[in-house]
Amino acid sequence: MSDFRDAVRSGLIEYMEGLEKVLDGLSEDELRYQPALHANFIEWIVWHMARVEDRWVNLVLRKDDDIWVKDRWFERFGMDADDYGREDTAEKMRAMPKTDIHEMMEYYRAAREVTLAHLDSMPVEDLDRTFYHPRRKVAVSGAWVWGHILVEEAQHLGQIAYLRGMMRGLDG
Amino acid sequence: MDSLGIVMQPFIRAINSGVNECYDKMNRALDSLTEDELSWQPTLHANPIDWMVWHMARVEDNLINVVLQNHGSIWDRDGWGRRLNISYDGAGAGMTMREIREMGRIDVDKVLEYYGSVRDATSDYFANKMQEDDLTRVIEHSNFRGWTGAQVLGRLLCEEGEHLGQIEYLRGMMRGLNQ
Repeated sequence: MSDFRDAVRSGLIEYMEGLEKVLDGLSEDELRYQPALHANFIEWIVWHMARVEDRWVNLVLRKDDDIWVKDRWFERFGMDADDYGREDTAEKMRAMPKTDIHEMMEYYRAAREVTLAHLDSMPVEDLDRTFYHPRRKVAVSGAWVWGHILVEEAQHLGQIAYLRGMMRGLDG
Repeated sequence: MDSLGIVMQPFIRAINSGVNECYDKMNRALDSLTEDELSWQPTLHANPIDWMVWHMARVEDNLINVVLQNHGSIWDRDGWGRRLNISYDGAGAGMTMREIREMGRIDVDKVLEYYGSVRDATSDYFANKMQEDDLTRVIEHSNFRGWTGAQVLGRLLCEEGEHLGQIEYLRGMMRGLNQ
């Protein structure tokens, strides 16, 4: 049964490596580029990805505080403790303080460490356990949460890769 | 979900749930898009939505049926190339923009029919056909040589999720937030 854990772990590692690759060498302007006025820019997407993983794993699965709050990352970035980007308006997104993308990835990697540790130690019964979706307040299973984390993070990674491609051309 | 056959492999439910979530969201993201929207490119070298839907279906068909199970694809078995008038026989990785444009108009409704039968085969594989060593066995297929089955399933979710995110982003660019 550890094998399917491997599938989830492999997906998590693959999209983190993918993220590091698509961010490599992007300028501050590229990180803030919007192809349309209401389209998310890369810097915001990276922050949102890290927040999403942190929240699902720590708030929902581990029923603990998220790393963002626990380790005071929100203060370092001058952002709100509760914010994670869901349903932000385009105006709110554009008002995101300038952040250092390397520092943001440090936060993401800190959250990731906990994700992998939890994946390894999680009892198999938790796959069938009921958890509550933090926003919609509906019941979801542990299996659903892991599948969802992979899908949602991959969606945003795909968007960053697409934006990079729009700015730099294929494989640029 | 609980009826899935492989009780010894409970994490299959996470993967199965993820691929279904992707598929449902993709259908929602495509809802009511016009032919022009489906083939719109924000820049000349950016992939259009219709190509991505075809590519996602081809990738799943390839990973589940060819790479993991070592048998032929549903694309070949059911003659989808002929039915869709697409002579290109790969899954689309590494295609040049010229090759993509040469595919011409892609009939997305028909591609979704193909995708539906691919998805049925995937569910059937997870529920009934998967062997215990499918996850640890080292893959023989030349594009994935040295990978394990678990890695291939991780790739499937990453790949489909990435393209789903791109389709949603393009829809948002054309129609605005949540339209």
